Amino acid sequence: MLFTSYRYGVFVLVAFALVWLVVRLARGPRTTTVALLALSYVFYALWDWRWCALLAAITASGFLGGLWLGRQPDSGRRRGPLAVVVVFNLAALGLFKYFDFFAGSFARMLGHLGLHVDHVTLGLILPIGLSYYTFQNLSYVIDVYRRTLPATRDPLIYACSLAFFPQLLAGPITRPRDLMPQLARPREFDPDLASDGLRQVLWGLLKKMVIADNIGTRVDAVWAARGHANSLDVLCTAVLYSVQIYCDFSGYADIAIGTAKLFGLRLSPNFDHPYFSVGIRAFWRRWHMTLSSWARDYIYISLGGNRVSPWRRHTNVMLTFLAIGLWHGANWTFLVWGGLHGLYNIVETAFGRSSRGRPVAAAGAPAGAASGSPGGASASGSDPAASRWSSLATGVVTFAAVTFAWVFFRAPSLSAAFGLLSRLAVAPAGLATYRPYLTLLLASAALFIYEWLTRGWEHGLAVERLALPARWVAYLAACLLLLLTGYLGSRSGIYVQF
Amino acid sequence: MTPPRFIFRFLVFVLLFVVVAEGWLRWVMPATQQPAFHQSRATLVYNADPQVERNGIATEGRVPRVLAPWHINAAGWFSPYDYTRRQPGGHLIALYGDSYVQGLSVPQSRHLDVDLHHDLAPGVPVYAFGLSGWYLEQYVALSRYVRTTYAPDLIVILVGQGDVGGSLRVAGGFPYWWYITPSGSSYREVAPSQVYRLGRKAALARKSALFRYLRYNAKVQLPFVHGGNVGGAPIGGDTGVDAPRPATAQADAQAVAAALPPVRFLLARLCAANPGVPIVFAARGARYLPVGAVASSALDPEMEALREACVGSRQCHFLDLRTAFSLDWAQHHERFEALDGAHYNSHADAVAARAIAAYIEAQGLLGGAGTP
Repeated sequence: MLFTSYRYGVFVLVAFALVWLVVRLARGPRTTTVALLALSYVFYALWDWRWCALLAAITASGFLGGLWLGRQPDSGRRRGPLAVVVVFNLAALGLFKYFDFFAGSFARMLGHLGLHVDHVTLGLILPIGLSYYTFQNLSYVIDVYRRTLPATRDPLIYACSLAFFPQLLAGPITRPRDLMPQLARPREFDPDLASDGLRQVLWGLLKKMVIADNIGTRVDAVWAARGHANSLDVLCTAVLYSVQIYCDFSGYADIAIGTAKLFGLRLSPNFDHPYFSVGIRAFWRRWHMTLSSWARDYIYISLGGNRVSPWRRHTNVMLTFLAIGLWHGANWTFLVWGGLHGLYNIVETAFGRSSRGRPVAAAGAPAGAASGSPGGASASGSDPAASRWSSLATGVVTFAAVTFAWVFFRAPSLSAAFGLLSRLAVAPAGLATYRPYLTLLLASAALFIYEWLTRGWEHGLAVERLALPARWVAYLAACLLLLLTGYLGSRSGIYVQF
Repeated sequence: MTPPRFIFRFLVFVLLFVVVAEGWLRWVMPATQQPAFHQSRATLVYNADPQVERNGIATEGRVPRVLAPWHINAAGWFSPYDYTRRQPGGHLIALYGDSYVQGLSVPQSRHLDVDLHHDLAPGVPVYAFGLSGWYLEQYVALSRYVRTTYAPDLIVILVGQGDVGGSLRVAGGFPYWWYITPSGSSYREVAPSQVYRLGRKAALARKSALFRYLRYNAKVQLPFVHGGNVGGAPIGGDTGVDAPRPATAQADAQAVAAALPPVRFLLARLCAANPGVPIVFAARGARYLPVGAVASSALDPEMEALREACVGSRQCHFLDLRTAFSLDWAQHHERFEALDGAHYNSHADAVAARAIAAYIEAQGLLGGAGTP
């Protein structure tokens, strides 16, 4: 059930009516949580009911592990339970997501050394959302281990914080510590929040269906026929893919966050205009914020963070970004993509450029200076001394570097990525046949100009300050735009596959 | 505000949006109009119903652009003329085809049949029988009705990729049309399993511009309409611009051999249904081949099978239109696609009509030749 399908709309409408009916009839928040949990499992079962058992097992491991950890008085005795839960979760992730990749790669490596082995592949289908709820689960267990969060004794609330259906497919990776308190509170219908949720859903649909999906068909066509591409094809496709993945993923996140608002819940924001970043570390404070802050808190800091020698710190940064790359999937292309971003961070740190991105102030975002990115430099806000042109130039270089890395991210294999990049040497035949690119690039430019103008808003349709008739005209225009230009086929979100 | 009130307000907005979208797609960017279809119980001929609607406008694309107005004649065919039986001693050409002959992308005054009529001196009537999605077996079945009703003395069939494959009955085929199916070592004809009637729901739906937009402009398979086809024939047929194909690929040779038996069966029945009437198959294909490359480039395997089946037949003729298109492209450099990017535009119709007219005259097909 894709977020862009009418089925999702029907499901949300039914869920909305049921949940608020339960709120009205029931006495406490617990019954509402039961209803939300049941609906979330139904939602998951509509993809494949067998995966519900996996979700339940992961949830049980986190909940029981938390209780076990909570009973251990000293940190030495907490290591055992933590290791058990972490190994169980990573084993599940490894089995479904990475086993075939590593088995195949290992066999190929031995093959290069002249040793031929028959390797076993399991051919397992990756359960949807596994990477997201596993990371939520781990964050809870590690928080309990670190004593930054008390272990919950309410299995329903814990289960609901992991399974809550809007975030199940493609995040945001809202940590249980942010969601559980909201679930525990008595629910009261907030019409303003619900209206804003609908607006955010509409904004997400516009980004996903009008921009991302239309670009996607073009980008896919060039990648499919990359042997015939020329330099203009490669450049346009690379830039357009940068726009596509942003609109696709942030559109999905907006739909998820907007849907959650309908139920009176706030999920963590995942994007904050990342392509307006000045510097790569600023980019990572604004791109997939829930994953980058997760990696910072649970990988980078666990490796020693900033309190080590510069060389060790660089190593930690690289390891963290390689892990982020690997999180996306079992493919060398993701490792190269992560490695490139690690390298960008190290180079930026080494050259002493402090990033000048705006500090992220939204709830659930990386909080505070040293925690801005896995690189850990301070996010000091706008530097008044830096000239506007210098910032613009740095912003353009940042976008170019990010776009270059996306080529590897998008490629089905490393050879395909290098194959496409090698076509940069082929001169374009003429400019007459590039109208499709022009339309898409203009649409992208229009989106970014609009996003720049509305950058202080929570989302692009946060027009609650306008008078009612003006608001409704804006909604009607947005819906008409969606109807006339939105991609109406079924096209999954890029990050749903992770 | 309570949740029920919130839902009510949301539904009011949805209703308002439907009204706005309906108005927009009716007057600002009109959604395409489709004629209502019906099927005769007696003849099983499936075509437009002139009693419901005679005129409309075809548009194309998500942001609808007007292609051309259409008109349905008294007999239910897309043509500016009303059809009458061939006069004794006179000539009459029946032109069969799919969406290319239906010609929604081109003004009717510049349709293939009209061009052909003008190109043939001295003005031979050309009656077009075309509908999107049709294939060879449909033409066979239709030719029986056309022969008894109009008695043409020459048949031209504009054929393309999928015309043979479409004739073979597959699960879920359109139940109102004719098919053939394997039977022993040969094939047999399968009559329509149902007679089409425009249902109440379909009649209502086709009045909605929003519905027509979603179904025909956006080509959305609507979940609440079985088969997604309301009041119209399936959207189908060969709409792609064919790419040149290598002539001697092994896979193609096998595909041609596989297509030959059904092609021979269909041709035999077509000839039997129209004794003494010459039949010209005008085959579409790649439109922009370099002059001289046509001979070394193969057509689609089905069309190659058709070409092979016509060899040695006095009644069946095969005309490869690619030659005319490649010559015209080399000479004028004017493209052949309509706004939909696939079907013939009026220039392509004119090129095809000239080639067909020249072939008919060169072969003397209207001069009494072509007896079996």
